This record gives sequence, structure tokens and C-alpha cells, in this order.
Amino acid sequence: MTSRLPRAMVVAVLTICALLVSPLPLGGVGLVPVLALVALDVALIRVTGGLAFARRASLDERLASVRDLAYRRGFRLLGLGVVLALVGSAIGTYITLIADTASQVDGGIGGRLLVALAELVVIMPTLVLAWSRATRQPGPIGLRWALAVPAVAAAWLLYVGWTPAQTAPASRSFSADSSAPDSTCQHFVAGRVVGAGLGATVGLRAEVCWNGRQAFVIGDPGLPLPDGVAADPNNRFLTACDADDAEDFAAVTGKTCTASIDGDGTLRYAVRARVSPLRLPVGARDVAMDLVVTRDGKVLSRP
Amino acid sequence: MSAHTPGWRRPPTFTTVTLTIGIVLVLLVLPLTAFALSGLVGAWGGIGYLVFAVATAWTLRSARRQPGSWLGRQAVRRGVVVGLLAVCAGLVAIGALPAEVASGSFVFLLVLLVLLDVALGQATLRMASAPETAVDERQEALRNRAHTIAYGLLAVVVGGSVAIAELAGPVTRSWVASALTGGGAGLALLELLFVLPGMVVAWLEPDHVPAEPGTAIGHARARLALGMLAVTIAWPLVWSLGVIVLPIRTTSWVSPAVFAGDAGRCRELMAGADVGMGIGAHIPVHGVACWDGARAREGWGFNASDCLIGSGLMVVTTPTVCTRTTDADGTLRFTYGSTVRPSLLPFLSREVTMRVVVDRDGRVVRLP
Repeated sequence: MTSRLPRAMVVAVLTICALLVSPLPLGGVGLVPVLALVALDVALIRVTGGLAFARRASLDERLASVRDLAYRRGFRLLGLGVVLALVGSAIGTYITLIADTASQVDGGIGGRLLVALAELVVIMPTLVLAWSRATRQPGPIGLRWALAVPAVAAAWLLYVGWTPAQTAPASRSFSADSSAPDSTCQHFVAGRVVGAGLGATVGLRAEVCWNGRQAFVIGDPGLPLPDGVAADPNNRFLTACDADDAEDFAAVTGKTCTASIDGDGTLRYAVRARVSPLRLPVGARDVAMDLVVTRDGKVLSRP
Repeated sequence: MSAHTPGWRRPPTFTTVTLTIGIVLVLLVLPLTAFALSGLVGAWGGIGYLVFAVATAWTLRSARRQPGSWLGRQAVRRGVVVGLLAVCAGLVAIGALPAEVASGSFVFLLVLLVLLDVALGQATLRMASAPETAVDERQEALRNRAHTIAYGLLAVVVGGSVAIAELAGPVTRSWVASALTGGGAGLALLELLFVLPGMVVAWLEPDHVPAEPGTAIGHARARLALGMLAVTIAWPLVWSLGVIVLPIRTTSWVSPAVFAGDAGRCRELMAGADVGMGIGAHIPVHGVACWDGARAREGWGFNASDCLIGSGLMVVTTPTVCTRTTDADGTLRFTYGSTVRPSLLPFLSREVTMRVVVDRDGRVVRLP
């Protein structure tokens, strides 16, 4: 390897981490940068001879000293990295709030920030060693390391495909207040998380009103209001089908949001979607959420 | 510590640590400035306090002292480390407490954290973060080793906890996000990012050999640093006492113009009471009173929800009275009482009562 290549790989790792921290949409293919990180990690560990992870007993005094110095610098850089990552994430959140595209589902700190931070924690001392060219004799990439990329991909597919779906609550950062004449209204927000933060979230956002005769959804022009009801017909803050989906590491496809009012005035609002890792049918899972509200505002079913 | 020898280079002004601290300070100053410009009580004082605290930290860092016979003992240093870890655990757990209790506990833990950090810095001579030119070969090896251990601890304890909480379920995921961004857990994380290697140094270092008489240098600066530290700690306490002992400053304004409303003629009224200085509260009243010669009425601004708009810095304001009545002679009375309790001295409190009295002819009899 030429002497510039390790530094180029360090820059590549930091660039991918910055991409993960940024608010740029990943379109369901977030696994690609993750696998790129794994490949770069393997190459960097090989370039540095695995010095950062070597047993202390296997190192002579000089190498132990070099390794400890890398950990000291790495610790300080990790502190800077964590602060910058949190600031970057906060700026991203602020931008989505300004652009009015923020999700009303409480998604926590987010899988992509978690991946970026985990990457920095694991590889930072190796980055320092690679940058300063303080390494021991590089060794060949063994079979175990060469299989790292497909192993991570397989583990991730299994994880997204088999972990139970979780229900995410509404974010406490939002409150919606609306009204329709002679009606009482309530805002419903929830999310179904597939892959526990490393997959996708399917959101439900609906403003439901009831007037004693029937319950209905307001704010979505695709869901017509009952006769005689006057309310805001188009307000995405109140009701939106796709506003709360998070598809960083898996894609949400074929999503539908339908509302029907039966004979006794009960509203049935149904969300259906399919979560597909890497936009492939392998490991895809169907997601269903139902909200049922009676004409008197009694909630019979909610996600 | 080494003397300047040929080939000696001045340590760099901008290091990773100073850059990180700078970013954290900017993150603190920016919202405080925004609050100050928007008129929040005590925000300018908060900025002044932050500047003084930074100057104190700077002076403490540049004052070199021996750790002293007590802090030089390994057992005492390990006690300081255990204390720091307990405070960090307390900061993480504080999010589960009710808001009123959490506010006072947070400030108490913060003061304790500062004191223990100062003791740790004194005990280790701030070896973990000292410039490379200021440590000898043994100290350099020790602190590098300490960083290696600290790195592993941070990765396993903090990284592991966050990863498990993030992946376990929506409730823990939500808790991690709120604790890191708005709770004491974020402060505990910063503490570990800056101080954990120092804790490991304190834990590993053997008992110090007592210094020879007359070798202590920089006594004057050390005294100045300790004095500034005492002021830094006492300052919020004195400000908190100000909430109790300083006179309440009130302002009031009545619009000279009278305008027609649904309930007769109307006039806008505004008043405020400021309690304390630096640390304190602002209790406002703002509304419109109308009258028709027989009776005075509320236009807007004199309702139960208007008794919830008191603001403050490091105080807890609790509404105690909120009433609006009309006398038999048509006089409108609005009373808004609030208890102001300093977060740092939660066992002390001050009552503030705002009164608005307008008679049926529109005369403002009392404000506030």
C-alpha cells in the first residue's frame, strides 16, 4: 500500500460517518455505507497490523507505548467526534423542523447516529495509528476478516427480518390542536419500528374528530369528509400518510392509508405498508396499523 | 515537570481538548445570548458567570501545586474517583425525579461535581490533560496507559449502555434521546469524555512522595485560583439568596388610549415583578380590562392560563393564587400569586403577588 492510502481511508471513514450524522436521506440503502465502513475498517486494521486490538502481552515496549499514545489521542478525538456528531444531529433535526418535514413519531437518537458513534468508538485508535503511520508489520487479510462484510450483511438481514416489530409513541416535541364545528378532535400519532432502529419505521398520523353521529378524519384531501362537515381539508400537520416514515436502513414501499366509516358511525383508519431491506424482496415484512374510533370518541383500537 | 531545554517548543494553543471545550462553550453561550436578547431574567448574568467560571478554570490549570499530603494518598484519590462516579450516576438517574426535586438536586450535584473535579485535578496535578512538555517520561507513559484503559471503559460502559437502550425498545430509545439532549446524562457523558482518563490516573497512581519544603511554586497564583473557585461556587448561592432578600422590582404600564370593545370601553394593562438578580424570576401580568359605567370586565389576559407564564433562571415558580372576581360595585379584581423557590436553596421561598384592580369607570385602582 502506498503511504497516502491509509490517510485516504481515514478520510473516507470520517466522510461516511459525517454522511450518517447528516440529515441527507438514505432512501432505505443505509446498509451500503455501513458495509463500506466495515470494509474500510478491515483494510485499516490490516494496514496497522491490528495494533489497536493486539493483546498487550504480544507487544514490545515500543509498540505498547505507540498504541497507548494512539489511544490517548483517540480518546480526545472521540470526545470531539461525539460533540460534533451530537451538534450535527441537532442541526439536522432543526433543519427538518424548519422545513416542516420533521417526524411526529418519537424515534430516539436514530439508528444512523448510533452507527456513526459506534464506528468512531471502535475504530478511532486505528484511525490515529493509520494517520500517523505508526504501525507494526501489516499482515495478510485472513479468511475471518475477509468474511466480515458478508457476515455483517447477513447478520443485519437476519436482524431486520426476525426482530419483533416495536410500537413507537408520539414525540413530545409536537402538539396538534384543531377543531371542526360541533365536533371534538384528537390527534393520533404512532409508529411501527421494524428492525429496532436499524431498519425502518412506518408512521401513522391522523386527526380524528367525532360529533356523536360519526367519527371522521380531517386534514387529508384523499379522505373525503362526511356530508355537512366543514373542516380544514388539507393540513399535513394534522393528517399525512407518508410524513412519519423513516427509511434509512430499509425501504417502506406500497404504503396505503384508508379510512372508512361504517353504518353506526365508527371510523376505521388503516395503514398498510411493506418494509424491504435494500429494496429487495428478501426479508421483506408487512406492517399493519389500525385505528378504530367510535362516533362518541371511544378508541376501540390503536397501534 | 521538565524545564525548557534546547529544542523546546511552545505547546499548541489549539488542541483537540481546547477545541472540544470551545464548541461546548459556544453551545452554552449561544442559547444564553438568545435568551438574554429576548429579555429572559438573569441570562446576561448567566453569561457573565460562565465567563468567570472559564477564567477560574484557566487560572486553576495554570496554578501548579503539590497535591498535599492528604490528596497524595492513593486511598483518598480513589475515594474522589468513586465520588465522581456516584455523582455521574446521580445525574443519569435524576431524570426519573419529579421536576421540582430534580431542579434542586441537579444544582447540588453540579456543585459537587465541580468540587470533586477540582480535587481530582489537584490530586493528579492535571497530568491527564497537561501539555506534553509539562510531563516527564514516567508520567507520559502513565497517562497514555490511563487513556487506553479509559477508552475501553467508556466504550463498554457508556457505548454498551446506549446501544442496548437504543435497540431494546421504544421506551428506552426515547429515554436515551431525552436524557442525552436535555437531562443530566448529557452532562455525565461530557464529564466522562473530559475527566475519565484523569480518574484512571488517580486510581493507578501510587502514594505521592511528600514534596521537600520550599519546592512549592506559584503560591500566589494558586491562592488566586482557589479564591476564584470559592467565588465561582459562592456566586450562585449569593444570587439565590438575592431571590429572598432583595426588594421586588415592579413595573407597570397602562395604555393611554382607550378603545371600544364588546363590553364597552377598554384599556390595555401591563405589569411585571422581577425577583432576585442573576438568579430570579419574572412574574408578568398583561391583559385588557373593559368597563361600561356599571361594571368592569376582563377583555383578555386575566384567566387561569395567564397565571402560568412566570419565567425564571434556576428558580421554580409555582402559582399559589389565581382569582378573578367582580365586586358588588362593579370593580374587577385579578390576583395572581406565585411562590418563587431558588433551585439551589429549595428550603427558602418568596411570595410574589400581582394585583389588578379596575373600577366600573375604568380607573386603574391598583397595578400591580
